[in-house]
Amino acid sequence: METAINYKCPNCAAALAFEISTQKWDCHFCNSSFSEQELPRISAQKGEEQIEKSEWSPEAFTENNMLAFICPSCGGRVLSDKNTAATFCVYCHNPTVLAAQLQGEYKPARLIPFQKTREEAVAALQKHCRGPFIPKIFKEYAERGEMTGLYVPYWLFSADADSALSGNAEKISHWSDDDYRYTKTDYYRVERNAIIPFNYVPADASERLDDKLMEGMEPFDYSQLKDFSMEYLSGHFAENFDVDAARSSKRFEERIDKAISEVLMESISGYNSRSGISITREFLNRATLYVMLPVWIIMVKYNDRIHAFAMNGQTGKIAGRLPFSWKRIFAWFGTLAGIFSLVFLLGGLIL
Amino acid sequence: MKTKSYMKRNLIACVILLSLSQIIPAQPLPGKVYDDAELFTPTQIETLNKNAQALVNEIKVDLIIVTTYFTESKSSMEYADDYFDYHGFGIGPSRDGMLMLINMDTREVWISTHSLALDYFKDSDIESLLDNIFVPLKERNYFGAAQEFLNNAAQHIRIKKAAEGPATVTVLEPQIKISDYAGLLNEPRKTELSVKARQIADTYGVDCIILTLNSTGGKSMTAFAEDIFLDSGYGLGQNKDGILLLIKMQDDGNFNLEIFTNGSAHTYINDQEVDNLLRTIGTRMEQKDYFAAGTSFIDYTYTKVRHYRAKGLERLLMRLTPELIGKSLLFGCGLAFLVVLIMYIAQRRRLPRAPRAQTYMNRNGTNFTLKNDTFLRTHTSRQAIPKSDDSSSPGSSSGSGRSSGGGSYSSGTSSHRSSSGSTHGGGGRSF
Repeated sequence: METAINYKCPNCAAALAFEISTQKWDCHFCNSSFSEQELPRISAQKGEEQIEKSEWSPEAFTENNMLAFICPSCGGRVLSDKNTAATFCVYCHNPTVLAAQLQGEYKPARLIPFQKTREEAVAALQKHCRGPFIPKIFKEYAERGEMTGLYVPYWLFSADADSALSGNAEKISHWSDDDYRYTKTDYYRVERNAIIPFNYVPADASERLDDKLMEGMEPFDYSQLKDFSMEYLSGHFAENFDVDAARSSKRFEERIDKAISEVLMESISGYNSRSGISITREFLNRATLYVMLPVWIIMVKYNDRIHAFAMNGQTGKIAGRLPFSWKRIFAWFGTLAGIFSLVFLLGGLIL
Repeated sequence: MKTKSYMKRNLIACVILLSLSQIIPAQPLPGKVYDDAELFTPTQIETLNKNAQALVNEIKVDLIIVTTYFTESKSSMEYADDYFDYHGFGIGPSRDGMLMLINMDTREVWISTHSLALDYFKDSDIESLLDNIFVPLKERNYFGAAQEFLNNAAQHIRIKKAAEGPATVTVLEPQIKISDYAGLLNEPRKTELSVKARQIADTYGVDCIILTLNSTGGKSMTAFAEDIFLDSGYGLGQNKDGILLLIKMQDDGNFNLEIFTNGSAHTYINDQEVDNLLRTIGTRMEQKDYFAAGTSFIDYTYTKVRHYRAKGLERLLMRLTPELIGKSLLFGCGLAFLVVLIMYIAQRRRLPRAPRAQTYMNRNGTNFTLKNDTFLRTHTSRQAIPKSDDSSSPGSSSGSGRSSGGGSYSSGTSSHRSSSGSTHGGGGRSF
């Protein structure tokens, strides 16, 4: 049973990785290039190498949530996180896909390949670090171009929300004559029923990635979703889900409940005030899709906290707030206060 | 349409006229009696006008009588002072004159004095005059009260003028900075003050003069100070920059003070500061410490002139006060805080927000299966509108651009500045 895979060039057997800029599998050794249609050739090549050269023996260190595998290229024993689905060998740096991690329920149905290159991601991070208050450590990371391409596991939820609203509303009108000011209040009972369809609402399925950070990079363009193929993972990191669909669906429900409420409330127009509003909903035609979506990410520990900056690997939208350095803020304040005070002092002396 | 445009034109004209009336003082009115409260008969007005005109011609001090029911929300004192200033009453350039206001709204009589009348009427003199006016006023004999005002005021001025005699001096040598005709200072003191005054003139180009005398020859202190300053050729530089302290000692031990500022000195020491300085000098004079009074005047002038005229390092060091340092630090830190805050906010707002869940909603597919709005009931309430009887009208004000100025102080006399900036005295009483 194949478990860890190095994809090899069918022409020269060198390591093969998915190249974002060309959207092909390029061999940097013999300059061969392979398109999506040539995937069976690549898969056939990896099969031979795998069977001949490696004796796969995974060891699960459950107490540490780690697993070990033998690199099919160099034979090195590599440790990895138990959720890792694609990584690099720490000895020979060859891209490795852990096929055993992508079996059964862990096999994603679909995937969006990376569209944005590392250079674009690094440029976005460098631009983001331009501010004067960003700690030096982030600027150093940006200068070194340290961004990681990661396929993040996502659940895409679809459902038709059968929603109902009921409550009271008031219409108030005013007029006056010479002596009195009049106020007329008309009371109404309002009721709404609507079926609101939601398609592919994403919820990241990784425990260690911050939900808000992931939401900040949305939306993804789902028209580019492709059927899952492990070859796309070669050359990038990938993770398996560790938050199952049932847990993620709570976030999905929270998000769409807000939208449902807004849609229903918008439909009650022409009233001055509303009260006693209650909203209920049920789901019809509910469906869940497990996918992997591309993200460029950097995580840096600063002041005992992990700070993350991420970029949507498909659209280039960035997310994540970098921390401010109070030292830098005070330095700026002190410098500016000194300059301005001096200017005011000189102005007061001269004028 | 025509009527509308006509009304619009009229409205614009009214607004312009009203605005102009706020800026430009009115021309002096010809009469002496202004009976808005209609307390006098036409014959009485004619008689009062004739009497007043005859007395004014004789004593050269304007005498005005005003009655009113409506003081534009001003006190009697403010209304009387402004009425006098706004209508340009008074005789001569210093506008010597006095005005009696009978305010029927508050049932009060007020006498406002200006320039020479202010010099001649101490508070006790005003009280005596009011005593005389009150005899007929108590019997609602307003004509009699007005006659009392005219006759007694004129008589008082006649006596004062006769007692004063000719002016002690009419012209001075411009080199002499301290002229003590009233004999208040001994020679060493005079020399000491002269040295200080010369130092101001030599270092900063502002003449500083003290003149003491016993008579201004019937001229008001204001007019006399201005005349002797200009006629004697005081003032240095193109603008004739200078400041003069005039002290008139009266036989009864009372005194009048006048400060005249010319050219840049008027900018350096404003009216408010002149009033404060006069009060300080007046206090020293009342203590009979004439040298301290002169020193106060010269030292204050030196400080103010130095503040504006000092140059180079002296100017910088003089202005480097703890107050300036404190203010600079305060504003510097405030501005720096603002800039850093803006930078902070600008940096925080860089990231686009996460999309709302509506992004994933198929709006075209949204199907409302029920939209029901059922009318339940109606309720109407009413509230009485409070009636208001607001009535107010804008007060009048006047202003003038002056290149010279000053102020007056008289011992035993309460003086104040009116809204136009001129100094008035006087007093009043309710009836």
